[in-house]
Amino acid sequence: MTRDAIMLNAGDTVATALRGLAAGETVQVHEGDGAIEVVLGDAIPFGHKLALVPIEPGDPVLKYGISIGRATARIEAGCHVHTHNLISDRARPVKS
Amino acid sequence: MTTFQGYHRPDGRIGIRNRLLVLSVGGLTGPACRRIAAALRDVACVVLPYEAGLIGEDKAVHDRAALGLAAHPNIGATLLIGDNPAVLAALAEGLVARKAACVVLSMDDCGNDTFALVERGLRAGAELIQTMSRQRRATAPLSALVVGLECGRSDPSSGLISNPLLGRVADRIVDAGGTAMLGETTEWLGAEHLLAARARSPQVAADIVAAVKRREQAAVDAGFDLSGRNPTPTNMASGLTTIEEKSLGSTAKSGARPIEGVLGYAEAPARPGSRRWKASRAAL
Repeated sequence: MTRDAIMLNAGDTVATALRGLAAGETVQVHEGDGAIEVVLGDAIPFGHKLALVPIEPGDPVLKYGISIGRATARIEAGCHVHTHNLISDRARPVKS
Repeated sequence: MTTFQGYHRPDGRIGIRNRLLVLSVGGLTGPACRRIAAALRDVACVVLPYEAGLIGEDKAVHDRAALGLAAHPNIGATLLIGDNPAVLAALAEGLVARKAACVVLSMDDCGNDTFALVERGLRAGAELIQTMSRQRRATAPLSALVVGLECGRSDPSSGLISNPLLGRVADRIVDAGGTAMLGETTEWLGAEHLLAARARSPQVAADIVAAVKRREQAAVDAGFDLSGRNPTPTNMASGLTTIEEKSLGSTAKSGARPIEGVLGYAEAPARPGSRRWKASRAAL
């Protein structure tokens, strides 16, 4: 069985693409015994992240069951999550 | 696997390699050391960039690193080269105390002629290699194995496959009584609470968090955004977005066993068990 994307921990809000995925594809992501189905709003390159649920600006983005930073914009389920809409919470310089 | 084949050193430690180390104690003799190492087979060459003028903690760290490298169990003998005979003599004395083989050559021994230094170094190095070649590997318990955990050029697959796999290997070594060490403190940012939760004591947990805070504060104080430097542009192109995400993948290398302590730069672990080596990437 090939998988399109992998969700590392139950409850994660993103999954990692296991192949290059095209916009408009319907992707199944396994969670426990079940699966989450999302329709891709963006193309997702191999290794990149897709949102599994809608994410609001300021929300933590969860991978490995842990926050990997915060959304800087609303991210729809099935959309690409990367530097354009996700920012680190750590080592932020103080803006003067 | 409960045993491995290794070189049993006089100080009781066991190495998996048997290399000659050409060690330049200071930058002045670096080019000569590189020439010597290039002409000999299976040699490790380390050029310590500084020596003269180091004081206080800087000098202590430098000396500890030099002694640690030269007495390393993967090193069968060391050719100690430098421009300060007193510094070389002190280092050689430390090596003798640890029963590590070495030959000392200073600029003064060679009339400050670097060509003479290279010639004498080549002869001395070749003789040491000949002596070392008589050493043979023998069976050793896995509890004597010490590994440093290192990855490179992270992409999202590192956190999915290779680093968790390395973590399983580290756990097996630690379960057998061996030692595993994790460095690159910057790549604990965002995952330090997971490491701290595995600490053997509250003090060790505090040491782990403090080590990360120091690195984070250094980045903030310098006024730069870590993003684009770590994770690097290559990491980001492959799909990693933030340092937290990279760290969560990176620290998977360390497995799941309790963490015994945090080590300073060039400090060696004393007791068996999983350890974190607080050191920069450059130190590995």
